[in-house]
Amino acid sequence: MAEASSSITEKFFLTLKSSDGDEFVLEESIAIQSITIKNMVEDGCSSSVIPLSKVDTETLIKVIEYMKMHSSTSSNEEEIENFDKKFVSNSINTILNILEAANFLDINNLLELCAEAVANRIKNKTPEAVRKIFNITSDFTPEEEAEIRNETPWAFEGNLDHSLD
Amino acid sequence: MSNNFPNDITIDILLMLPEKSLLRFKSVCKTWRSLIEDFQFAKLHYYLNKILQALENDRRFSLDTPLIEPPSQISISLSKRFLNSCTSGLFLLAFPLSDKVIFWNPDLSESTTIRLPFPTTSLITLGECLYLAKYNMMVELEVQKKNGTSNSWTKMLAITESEFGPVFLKKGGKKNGGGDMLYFRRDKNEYVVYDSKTQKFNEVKVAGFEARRKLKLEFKITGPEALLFIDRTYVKTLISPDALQN
Repeated sequence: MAEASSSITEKFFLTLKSSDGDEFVLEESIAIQSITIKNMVEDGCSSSVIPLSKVDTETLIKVIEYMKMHSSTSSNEEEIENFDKKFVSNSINTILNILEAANFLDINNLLELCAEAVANRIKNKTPEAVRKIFNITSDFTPEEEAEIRNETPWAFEGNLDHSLD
Repeated sequence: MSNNFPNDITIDILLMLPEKSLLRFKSVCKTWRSLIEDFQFAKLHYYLNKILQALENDRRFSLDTPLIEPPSQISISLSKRFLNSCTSGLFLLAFPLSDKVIFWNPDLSESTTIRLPFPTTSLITLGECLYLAKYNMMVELEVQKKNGTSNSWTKMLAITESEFGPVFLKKGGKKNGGGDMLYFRRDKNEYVVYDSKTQKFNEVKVAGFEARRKLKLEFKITGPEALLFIDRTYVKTLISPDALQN
């Protein structure tokens, strides 16, 4: 009898709530790719809804897609590779949002994937384009900025990319 | 996205950029400039890029073409340390990543990877990585010696250790005559001490307290006082300055 009951694999489900108030039900085995969620589960805080106040709905959908694809139970390597390629073709702003979420949720693979994707996208860009993408206001005086340029003028030469995505 | 994008994520992105982009992005804002000019960052960036690149490339290199070049664009002081290390006969680099540690021998162009027993989200220091390696399957260090005046290198010893703990470096100083001592425990009752000055291996075959006394008397080695392998210049560039203060 004991054998019979232990052979039944019971699936546990968690409910994640985005900052917009939308709720998503996810298998626990998939959700615990997030170390943050895993810790909550282990601490027994997961019986009710898990609020993710820093992750909006659009971003959470992407993160869940990623976790589903990367959960060990499904998908082969080729599928995962194709998925990742497509995943990083999202707009750069989307990827930056996912990066923040991956950082908060502590999903190391996703963090690495997105950091590399952002690096690839911005590596040929102008400082001006990077500022706009990251919503940064320059706090240099024109003189200071010229000085940085003059340190390594060659770094500012070549075919630089002005686009914002 | 808010203006206060977390710095630790920015660092993750910057680490994956080529040097030319980094130099350009110093002009983005003061925060980015200070992140890029940070010495620890320069070190991490350098190791991450050069070593991983080296590991991916074909490994046919000779001593005359050092695989790992000084990072002239990022940090002049770091490049000086590298040049020093090249002349002092250093054999090993270790690079700790979040889920594995790569040991790299620039002269042999050979590497060994050790998977960590558990993944860490942050980069670990070399001292910690050795501590972890203690619980891992194996650390293989190949200690090599330059053979006479020719440029061939002869393998002198392969250390395979598992349960007896890490390899320690006793840093050379004026007191010790200048040579660095590399020492490790090969067996319950046997220590091996490598003196980089005389390039000799000494075996100390005594147990426990007696061994410690002998190590102390003959080699002036006490306790796990020093962190790491072979060349202290590499050690300096790899671990945090705080770790070197004792």
